[in-house]
Amino acid sequence: MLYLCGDKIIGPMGLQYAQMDPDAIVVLIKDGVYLDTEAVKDKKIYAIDEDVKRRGMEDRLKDTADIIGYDKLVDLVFENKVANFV
Amino acid sequence: MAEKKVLINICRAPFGTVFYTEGLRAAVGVSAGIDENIPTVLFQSDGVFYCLKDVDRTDALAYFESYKGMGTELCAVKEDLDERGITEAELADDITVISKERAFELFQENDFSMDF
Amino acid sequence: MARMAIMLTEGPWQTENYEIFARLAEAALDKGHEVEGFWYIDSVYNAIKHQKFPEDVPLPVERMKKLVEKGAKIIACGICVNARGLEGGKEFIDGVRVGGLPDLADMVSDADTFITL
Repeated sequence: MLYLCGDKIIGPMGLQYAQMDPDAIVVLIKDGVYLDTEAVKDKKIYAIDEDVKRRGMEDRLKDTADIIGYDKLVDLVFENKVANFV
Repeated sequence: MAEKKVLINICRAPFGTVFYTEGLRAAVGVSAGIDENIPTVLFQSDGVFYCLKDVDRTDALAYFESYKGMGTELCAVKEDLDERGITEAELADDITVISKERAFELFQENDFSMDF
Repeated sequence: MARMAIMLTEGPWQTENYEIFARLAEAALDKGHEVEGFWYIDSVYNAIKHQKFPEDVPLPVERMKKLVEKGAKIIACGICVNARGLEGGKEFIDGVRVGGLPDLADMVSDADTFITL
């Protein structure tokens, strides 16, 4: 399942559920790029490039997340069931 | 067209924003089409404060009437209640307390989720 | 081709959500998918013509107009519209239809993926 995490208030909940899911895909969008992803570091983590870059977070995320564009996000949300935490 | 199961995920506290009541309205709304999609309402995080039995439900009474007719499940996550020191005795009668593990399963079982 | 439904709940100029809506919808349309938007709560303000801003930045309504031109179908919640004094959306751009929750229900039924913003 894909956990779309987009803010600091409800995004952490998405990460909690992702921890429970052996096949979790995490996508950080919007302020979700500020989330602490230590607990889900064994999961596939993506972050949206425009959201990362405008926040100056590229260096901080380079070892934890694959930076993707909205075109790739479109593919991911059709390929996987989505849990929204945006 | 196909009937869908939809998890209405109410995460924000009442009454500071309208998300709780608009989420409750959306739960009725998703079942209002030709296919009668099936909603389940999940209260978690600060959303669980809405489950207190003394909460003022005036602005959502019609939705709760609809839930009764549709047999909609209203669930609150135990771990989130515990974290806030809320006991089951403080909750409204129509709320079912479920574990975080069960809430996780709900996300898997439903076709779509909507966060409020 | 598949169908993406996006529920937007935030208005323009207050949170980033309208921008995310525009980017995601555009990316899906560019890939040949169908996009349906349900505008709920304050997001109905995104459809109002005559938006003005002192700096030269893309106006929310202009971005939405572009999506409609590319084929996005957008429905604004009628209760939300009238609750905000927007009189049935009379100042809305063409292509944003004022509807109701049964439209949301049909959108859910028809969608292959559903995103809330």
